[in-house]
Amino acid sequence: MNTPGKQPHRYNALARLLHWVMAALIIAMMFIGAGISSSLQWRPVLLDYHLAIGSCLFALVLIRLGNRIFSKGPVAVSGIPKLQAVAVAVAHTTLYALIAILPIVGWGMLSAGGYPRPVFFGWMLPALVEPEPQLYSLLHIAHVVLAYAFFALIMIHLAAALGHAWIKKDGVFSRMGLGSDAK
Amino acid sequence: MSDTQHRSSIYALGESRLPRFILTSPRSRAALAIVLIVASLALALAYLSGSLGKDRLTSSGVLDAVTSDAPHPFPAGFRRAHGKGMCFQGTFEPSKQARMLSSAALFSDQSTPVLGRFSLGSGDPRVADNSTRSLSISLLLKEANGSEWRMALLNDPFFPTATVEGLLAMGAAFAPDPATMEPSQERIESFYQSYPEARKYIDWTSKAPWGSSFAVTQFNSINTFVFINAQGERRFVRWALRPHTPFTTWPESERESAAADALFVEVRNRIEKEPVRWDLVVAVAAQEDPVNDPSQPWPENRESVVAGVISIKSVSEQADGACRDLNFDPTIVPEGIEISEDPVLRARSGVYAKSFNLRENEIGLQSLDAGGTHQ
Repeated sequence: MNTPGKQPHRYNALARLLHWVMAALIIAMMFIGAGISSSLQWRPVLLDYHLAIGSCLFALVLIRLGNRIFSKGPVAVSGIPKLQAVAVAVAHTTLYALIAILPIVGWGMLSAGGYPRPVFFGWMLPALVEPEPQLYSLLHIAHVVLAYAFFALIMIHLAAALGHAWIKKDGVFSRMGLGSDAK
Repeated sequence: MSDTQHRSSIYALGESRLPRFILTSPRSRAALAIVLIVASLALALAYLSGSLGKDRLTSSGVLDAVTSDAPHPFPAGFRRAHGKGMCFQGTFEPSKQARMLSSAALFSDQSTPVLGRFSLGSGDPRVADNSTRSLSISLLLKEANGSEWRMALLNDPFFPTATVEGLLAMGAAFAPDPATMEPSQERIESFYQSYPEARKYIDWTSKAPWGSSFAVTQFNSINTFVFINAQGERRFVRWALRPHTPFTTWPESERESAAADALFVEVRNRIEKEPVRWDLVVAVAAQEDPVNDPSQPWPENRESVVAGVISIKSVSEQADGACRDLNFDPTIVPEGIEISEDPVLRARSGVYAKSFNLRENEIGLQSLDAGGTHQ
């Protein structure tokens, strides 16, 4: 654990563990979601997985945001232009926001479309809204558009992370890396 | 991975496959690897979503194919198939025997509310009732615990083909040839060679009697499901709604002069007088019965159980009725019931969802034609 007053240079172990578990689940969710919209044979099964993983991700992001807010973040990366630092902060905040928003939009979409309430570990979640065609259509479009925007942002995030790891080799990657404390 | 290991793996990739000029430094090789990783993830997503690789059948592709002879432009706010309909409400009361087959709560509860819909099988929501022999009924049974059982049943006893691909091939084979305006016998014969099971369906539809009312018609699940009881025993089942009102035909002489909404007016009047009832008859597959081929009906003498009675007690127009904004996806089943691997059943889920999304979009976001009426 960190000594009081001294800022760590990596995210804490819980943050790093959650990051990689959620990264795997989110990438899986993207592909499952795309499959739901096209697959003839696997849609019912994929939909079950999508709702189960989506509920888990929503629970995990709450823990992650709590950990992010209540624990000390790592020292800022030095030697980065101010504009770039702002862009990175905006991108990271948007990633957190999308992880939290997409499950709620999906859940609201199911309620607005009159679909059965999703079940989370045997517990049936309440309906978020009353069935309503206009709201259903808006939420459905929002779910799809936000998901593709999320995917695009994740691809940028991935490219930047690998750029730090493989090209710049500046230790930024290891702030969130799973390996032992190298720096 | 150490730096040297890393470098050598990149070299191995680069020297064998890629032009030298973009690989002069480890940095550019790393950059190329990153681009390839991101691009392959994006391509994989595009492929899975159906926007790449048009060779395979997707939900949208099937919906387009089965609605190819629907009116253009399609009237806003209607279902893409079975569009002409009427909503109803009623109840389901189970028999004691049903519990032996499935642990679904609605087989133990005294009574379960039913929402549903009568419809014509036509792709055009504005046809007259005497234009098609194909009738259908959709149900949503909502258990007290919130779980739902949705069904969409047809008066056909079996599906034309074993697969969705077969259904589309049938549509293409029987479509009129643009040159002659007649279906081509050659194409039909080659279709029968690929999908011999369809002959049975075509024979049956040419002989099957027209029912005089929704109330006298038997409706069938077509697809196979799995019932699981409290002991965990699993059985493949199909079910039918068997009418309490005896079957009477609708003779051609009467059909010809029938009013456009004859069947819907008839069933409305009937239900306003007294509830109309069907037995839910569940047939259990024998070992040798085909469970994943909806074109093969099971023999009549299979073990069957009357699982309960559906009573329809009131009707309402679908323009503002509760059934309008419901997707009767037959893969939505409560605990105690599972879907089988029947490919036609699985496919119905995605195709119904596409139709639902289009319809809700039109109802919710676009101005409706004909002053917002749907019937």
